[in-house]
Amino acid sequence: MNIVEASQDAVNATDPRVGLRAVVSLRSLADALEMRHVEAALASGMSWQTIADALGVSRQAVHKKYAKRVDQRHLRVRGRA
Amino acid sequence: MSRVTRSAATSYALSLAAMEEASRVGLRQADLEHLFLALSISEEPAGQVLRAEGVTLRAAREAIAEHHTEHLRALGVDHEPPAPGPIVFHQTGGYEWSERAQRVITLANKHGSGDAGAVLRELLAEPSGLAAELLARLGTSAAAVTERLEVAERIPTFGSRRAQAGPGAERPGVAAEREVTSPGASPARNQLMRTGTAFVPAPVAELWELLIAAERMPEWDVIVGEVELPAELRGLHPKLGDAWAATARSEAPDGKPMRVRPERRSLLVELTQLDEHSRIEWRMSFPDEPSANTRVIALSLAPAAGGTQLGITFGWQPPADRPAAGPLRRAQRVLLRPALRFVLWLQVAQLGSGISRVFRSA
Repeated sequence: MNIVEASQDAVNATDPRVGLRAVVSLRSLADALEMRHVEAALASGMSWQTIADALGVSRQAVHKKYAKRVDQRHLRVRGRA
Repeated sequence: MSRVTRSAATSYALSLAAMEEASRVGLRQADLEHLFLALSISEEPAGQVLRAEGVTLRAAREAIAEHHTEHLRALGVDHEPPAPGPIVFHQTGGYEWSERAQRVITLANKHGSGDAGAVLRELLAEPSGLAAELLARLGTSAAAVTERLEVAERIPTFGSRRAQAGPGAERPGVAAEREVTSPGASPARNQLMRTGTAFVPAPVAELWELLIAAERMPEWDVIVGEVELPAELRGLHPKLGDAWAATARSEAPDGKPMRVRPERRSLLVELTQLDEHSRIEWRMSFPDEPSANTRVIALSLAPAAGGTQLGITFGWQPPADRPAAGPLRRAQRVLLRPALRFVLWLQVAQLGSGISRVFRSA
């Protein structure tokens, strides 16, 4: 099944409950992907400001959300560099 | 053990395991699925019942991944969830329960005793129906699990095992005498000792391979940083009576330097009990500080559905030549007893989760 067909299925779904519950999975996928990409960016030496610009949020917002949550070893390596 | 300490112990174990599971998949919020996974490795009757119904950690993880993949497809997103990595809970922070998972735990304390059985019942009753759906995927049902749980909770051995789970379960120093399945360490004078049980999601033989390999001790012990095996022990399994040097951990898992007193930096580890695939005991002393208590870790292994039931005894044993405590020291000890009891409980809990983490993080 390709994405177009799948999207048709989604729109045609008769039970809205299925769609609503599926959104929970989508949200957790988005959270997990965001975390991975922020960690990868920090590991590559990217600044909080650049990450914030790419995500379309303020530096404060991205720092508040991720400073504690990312692997602290990435931050320590940056601190020493 | 009081209801409060039991539910605190359950809550600690479930929170740690659930958040470790969330950490593997890049999440910092533990939701219902992570609580489900945590229950599948609980050493309490609820965990034993789930595993007996085929709900092992590996099977449950697969069922959850399938559930998400199907949901995403229903939305037209043809994207498999990213492959999980190792447990990074101890390298990261900012963990919390989701609102609905927190509600399940709160209700388990309100309606039930707050033990893992009560949490499982509330999880099966919560409105999203996720746990029931996962059970169906795993070839069982909420009804089958609930029925088995009721039977299990009536068996007295389940009850007594559970009674050791919390910080207030036993008085230090007498725990080992009361504990029938104690793995060997005999309580000596003034010894502070605590026992507990943990479930390890690996067969006995695989767990034994980890425990018998002296150089792998840093993988599961919170104190041992590096093992320095003498040349004649390298590549071999140590024998009863063998001893080797080790250094204390100087860095926390998140890379933060740990302050260790210089006289506590070197350790001497002795293998003092050994019964292949069933029992092992180490004594760790500090050669640069002979007056320090010896750290004693004794483990017993027994096969269980989906893995191994691990019996844990942890203690601090004073050196034989230490003079008997005076009245002041004895009074201090009485005052410190609740704190010591808690610290010993925590050591046992950390040993259990540290050893099982090796198999959960792979």
